[in-house]
Amino acid sequence: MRILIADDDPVQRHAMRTQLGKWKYEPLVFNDGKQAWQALQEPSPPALAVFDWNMPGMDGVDLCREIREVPALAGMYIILLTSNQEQKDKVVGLESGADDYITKPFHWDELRARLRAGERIVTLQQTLAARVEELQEALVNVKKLSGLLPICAYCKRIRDNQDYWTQVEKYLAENSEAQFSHGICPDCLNQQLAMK
Amino acid sequence: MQWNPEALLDRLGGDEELARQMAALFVDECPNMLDDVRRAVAGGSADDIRRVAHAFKGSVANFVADGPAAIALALEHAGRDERLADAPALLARLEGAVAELIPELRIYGRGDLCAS
Repeated sequence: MRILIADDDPVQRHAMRTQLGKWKYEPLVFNDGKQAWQALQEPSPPALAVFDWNMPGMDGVDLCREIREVPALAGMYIILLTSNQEQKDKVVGLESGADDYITKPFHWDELRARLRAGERIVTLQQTLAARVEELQEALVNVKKLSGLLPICAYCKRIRDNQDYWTQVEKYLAENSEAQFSHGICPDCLNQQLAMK
Repeated sequence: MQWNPEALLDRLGGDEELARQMAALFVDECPNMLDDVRRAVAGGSADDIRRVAHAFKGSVANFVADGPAAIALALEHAGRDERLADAPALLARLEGAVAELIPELRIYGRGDLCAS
């Protein structure tokens, strides 16, 4: 899984690139928030990100706020890194749109565990989004047979969208997943036998 | 000053190679970062001082919790609280503390066990 990294500290960037690679992630590393924001404008941006809070120009909190304004990036899971230790900073960080928060210097096992948690959430969201899409498609098909159908009171044919009067059997076959097996009901059987 | 890599190694899960690379990288980058702090103090912008001191603290805190990290934090707070008069003395203390730390990190970064 690709992970977007933005950090202005070269030591931290090097450690991040090394550790994430070791954990089988694909880190995309940038020196500041503006570069990371530009990378997010490309098609298929990473769904997982680690941003340092304090960076020149666009900082991590600004980046979170901008990302949360974009519907296409709504599912992105963001971990904010900072050496701010105060409780109010954590609140500001999370309210800016970050999903998680780690104070520096941190234990790298903790970052790995938090990335795994983020990865699980991203995967779950992607699975749910695909399922919703499938259900929406199914709903479109179901809708074809809902609503008011004009039917002839005598011959029981149905008027379709092109104003043609169609046999019920043909209409249902064209507008649903239903298939027909042909037989004869007892009343019709008796009628047919009586006619012979 | 006697720097001990134990805390860094513990946080890195014992990856000594990475710890040495980080130390060597910090030794290379430290003069530029310290120049940023000097420029901010000379420029007299409280917000610049807060920002660059914070960045320096974040980087040096990979290696030490006190000494230069604590002084950089004090400088960051001086910027945040707009106590510009305190900044030059804190900068001088920071330069002194960094001057003690860098040779230790340089040795560690080289992996030169004989020198340690």
